[in-house]
Amino acid sequence: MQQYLEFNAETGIPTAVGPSKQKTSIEINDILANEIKSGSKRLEEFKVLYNEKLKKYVVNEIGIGMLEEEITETPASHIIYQVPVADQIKDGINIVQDIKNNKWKLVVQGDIVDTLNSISSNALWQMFYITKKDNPNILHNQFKVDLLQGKCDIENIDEGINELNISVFCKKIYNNYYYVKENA
Amino acid sequence: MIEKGFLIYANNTWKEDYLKQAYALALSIKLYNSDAHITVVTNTEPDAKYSKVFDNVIVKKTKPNSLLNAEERINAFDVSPYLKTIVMDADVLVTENLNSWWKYLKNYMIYYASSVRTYRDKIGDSTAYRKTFVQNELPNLYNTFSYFEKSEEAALFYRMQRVVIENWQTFYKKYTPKKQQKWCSMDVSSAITSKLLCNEEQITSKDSFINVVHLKPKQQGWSFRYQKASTAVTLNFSENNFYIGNFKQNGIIHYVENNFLSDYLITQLEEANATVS
Repeated sequence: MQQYLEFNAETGIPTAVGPSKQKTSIEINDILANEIKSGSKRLEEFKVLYNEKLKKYVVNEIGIGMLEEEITETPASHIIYQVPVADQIKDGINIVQDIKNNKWKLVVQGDIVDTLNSISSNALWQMFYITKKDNPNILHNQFKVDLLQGKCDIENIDEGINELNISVFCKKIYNNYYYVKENA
Repeated sequence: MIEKGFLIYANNTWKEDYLKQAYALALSIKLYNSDAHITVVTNTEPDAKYSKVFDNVIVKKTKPNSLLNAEERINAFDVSPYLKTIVMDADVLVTENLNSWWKYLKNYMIYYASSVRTYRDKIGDSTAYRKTFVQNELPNLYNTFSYFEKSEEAALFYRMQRVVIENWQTFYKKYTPKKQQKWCSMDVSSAITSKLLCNEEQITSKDSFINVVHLKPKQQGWSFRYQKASTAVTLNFSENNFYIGNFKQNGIIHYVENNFLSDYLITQLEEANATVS
């Protein structure tokens, strides 16, 4: 059952917890609701404030005399994003490695196609990086793809590199990226 | 009684899944220390997958109004089933075999880490986060990594620590007048206990190789003031080694921010453990 934290809109001070949605209330998770109901957390330990960056009200736990800051910086793991390995092409942006023929290609399918088509541009390039397996610090190669035209400017990776012992990294701009190995 | 083992407290809150962190820590311990015996004390019944990695699970309901669960952690000395116990925070990862650590700790009845390193293996400047300790001249102890051997000396220390924690407001007022924390902290309470017993030199060594990679952003020596360390660097696990930025890690990592503990990292640790066993 959904639980809501009712609060005073002017002060942000919570006034009640319950299953009914009031005019000034925000949804909270069951664990927090139960902790407040059982008395292990007190209402006065929290304050509800409007977060400018998130554009919504958020509940803050009062810790060391000041409210905990809501940090919205982008994690480095999104800038140095490891593209998850998939065993087949899925909806999203697929970087496909044909291991037998030592070729790479780009396959874009699903809702992302509409999103990309809504961008009025002739080309939309994104960089991808081939690294040692699970290690973005050892770069083997890099290439760029045109997400709109489906072009991929890499033909193969350097000789002497185990093609099965690599990972693909990129900046996470869209939701779904996959690294698909074919003919392994 | 088992001779030695690891004790981890993992009391979940509405914000943090400490049991998941403890699971990752246990996987990292077992990867490099296959004979390690691990006990977790938690307020949440672990599922089968989690239970498998722990040798001993103690489920104990936390007290209402517990602050940072400090009240629970004071029971570590009594709860531990080991003669010699290493206690670690849940948000820690072990990156190597700890046999030399155990050997070193034989010299002590109680031990606390008291220095921290950056991910680049430089001794870190902890003053930004330790103002209470600096201004009140308290021993700079970190509960992130501590050790005790069941002994009279340790029993006395932990009895005193219990008194401090159960009356923390009184003790903090008296012993931290210049800069006071407004919550009950295990680190401050341990430091006050040590000060009361005048035993800092017997329970820590600043020059010891036993220290912690502490990933709080202000002590990494970065010129840009990141709010979170995970904004600046990633934590990777490749071929049984941990890397932060492009630095291979050693010792133990206190990663602090949940962003570092990705599901993929846990999967990698599970796979690495499967290979070892």
